[in-house]
Amino acid sequence: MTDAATRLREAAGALASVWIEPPVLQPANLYLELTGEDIRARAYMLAGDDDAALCLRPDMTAPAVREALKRNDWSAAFGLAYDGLVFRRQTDSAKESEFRQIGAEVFAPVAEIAAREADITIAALDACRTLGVEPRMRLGDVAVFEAIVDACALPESWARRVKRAFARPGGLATVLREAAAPPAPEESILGEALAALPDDRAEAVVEELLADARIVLVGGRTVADIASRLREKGRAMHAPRADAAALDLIAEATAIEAAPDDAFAQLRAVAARPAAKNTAALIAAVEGASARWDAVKRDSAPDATFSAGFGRGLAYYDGFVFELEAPQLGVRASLGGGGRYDGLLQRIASSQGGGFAQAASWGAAGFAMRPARLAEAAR
Amino acid sequence: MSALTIAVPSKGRLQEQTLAFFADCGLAISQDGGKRGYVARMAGQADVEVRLLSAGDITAALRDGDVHVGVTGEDLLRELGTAFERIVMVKPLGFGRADLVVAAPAAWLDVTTMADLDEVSAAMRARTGKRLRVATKYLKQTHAFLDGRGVDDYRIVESLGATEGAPAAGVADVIVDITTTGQTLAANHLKTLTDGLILRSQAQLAASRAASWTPAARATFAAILDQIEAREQGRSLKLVRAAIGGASPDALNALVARMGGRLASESEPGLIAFYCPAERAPEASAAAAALGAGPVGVFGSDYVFERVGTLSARFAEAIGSH
Repeated sequence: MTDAATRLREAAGALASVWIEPPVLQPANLYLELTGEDIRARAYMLAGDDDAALCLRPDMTAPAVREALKRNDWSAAFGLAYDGLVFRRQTDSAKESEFRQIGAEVFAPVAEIAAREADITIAALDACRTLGVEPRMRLGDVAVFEAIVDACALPESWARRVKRAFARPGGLATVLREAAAPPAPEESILGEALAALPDDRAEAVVEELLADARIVLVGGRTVADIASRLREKGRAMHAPRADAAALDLIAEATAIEAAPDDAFAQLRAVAARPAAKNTAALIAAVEGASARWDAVKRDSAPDATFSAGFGRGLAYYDGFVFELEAPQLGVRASLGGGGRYDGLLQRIASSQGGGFAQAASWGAAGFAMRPARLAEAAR
Repeated sequence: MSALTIAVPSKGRLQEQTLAFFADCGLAISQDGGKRGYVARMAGQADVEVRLLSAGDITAALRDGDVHVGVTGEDLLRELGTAFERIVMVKPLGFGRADLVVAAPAAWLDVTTMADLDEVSAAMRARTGKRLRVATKYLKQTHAFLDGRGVDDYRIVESLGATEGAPAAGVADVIVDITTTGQTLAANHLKTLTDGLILRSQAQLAASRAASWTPAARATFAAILDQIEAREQGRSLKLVRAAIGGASPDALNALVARMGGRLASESEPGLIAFYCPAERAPEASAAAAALGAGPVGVFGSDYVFERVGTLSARFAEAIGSH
């Protein structure tokens, strides 16, 4: 354990010069807003007023971002390293509810951060290798997935739903099935009528309908929101449905799972298909992932799989993701992993009252490893 | 010490209906002395202690194994989450019906389904950075249901009472709550989503796997279940007795089978007697008469006991032999 921890601390220290010790108790709201209600089942929530409630930190990434945002100096890229306990509720009592994580988070302007992604992956991989552990590597890239969807030029509301479904187990298949189904004969007659009116008239009609029915507007939406979405629904009645060939392409492309170079070849073939229309971003994303992999395998290629559908359990990541597994410890036994999460940085920055102008132009990426698992795998 | 502890609701309509149910089954519950007030006896069951508790406390007592058996709402039982595994729902009682539903503001004319709610919640979060607020006291079922419908841009606002007022009070956008007629929802300017039904709840006679099921507790509860089942059978079956007269016994036996009946007697010469679903008894009797049997009488039964009760057998299997 000591040896594994030492190697991991060296790897983290090489990427990040500043060691941080974020509070074990973090605001529950932070996680509820970032990852949703699922976190209640996964994190230890402590009683308190809803706004002041705390939780035991279930990971180090969000606390590290909060520490980063306390800095005044954002003139150049920097890294934060950590070594501490995280706490997760487990339904399976065989799993640890408290374990140590060592890792590093790198913050840099967007233009620079892509160049650090391979370093981060290699740092985690090499720490394993110095202990004689050759992990299995699972790779993915949320940006590739999003580019696949964008390439298919789906109607906008479907593109949104498909992207959101990505993080949920089985979610994608469900949404693709719904997108392919014939349009439900919805009560969009009102929407259809409103779509033909100018904005302010449409709102006035909705106001009048509600007043006539003696319905008081409650909840956090305005009449304008309601009118606008009714009109959207009305217009959607005549909009083209999601094209079947495009949906097939998404299903097929997201199912790609192969050795990385194979997977990239398959993705390039997908981009060349007629159903893929806006392919520039897709090609760029695939080439980015491919260049990252070239760097990772330069010394010695690990046993790796790239899955276009591989997202992470915590819905932080919006770019490359990787996970290192030790098959000798069991199926999908994770030693740790990491990835890119620009969106998380922006969301935490804006939830802390804004004032941080760089967030929109900066990116973030990092890794977190479990020394105890690594030591076990090295044994 | 009593072998078996049964908890029944201590107030309201649910209490009235529960007491009426047991009384109808010949298991009338009568309060001790009145001084303690919250302990009672069950007619004919000297080994049973009845406790009067709130429906919420009954649920917790079942979870913890503090009582063997309780009457409470299925909505509350399912809210136990993983601890629901400790509960055996022995018999739905047919009263205390209420639906657990997702309700949105009636003014949201563009929202009728869960898919709409999903889209609206995503749009709210994209625009304001805030998640849709869902007021409920049914945290676990809400989470499981919304998760299953792919809605994830929401926050639960835990509500301890008057959930339906939360949107009007400005602390929530939608609610998850129980409703019977929908009138309370409408009065609060809310409507149920067409596919927003989470659970059709009713009162359940439920047993706790966590309680200590001694042989005496099992035997006592089995006897109670047999009596409940016998009473139910008594209500749903009629006894048809006919002098065979000129009818062919084979034709009569075929008629009994066709009517879903069962022979009640094997020995009385010249007579046939069978139990038959109450609603088919007149038809069966007329048919028997038409076959040449008669006179044919139809009798009600207070109780019809079986050699082995289905309910008690199922319970014995569910509770296992731990």
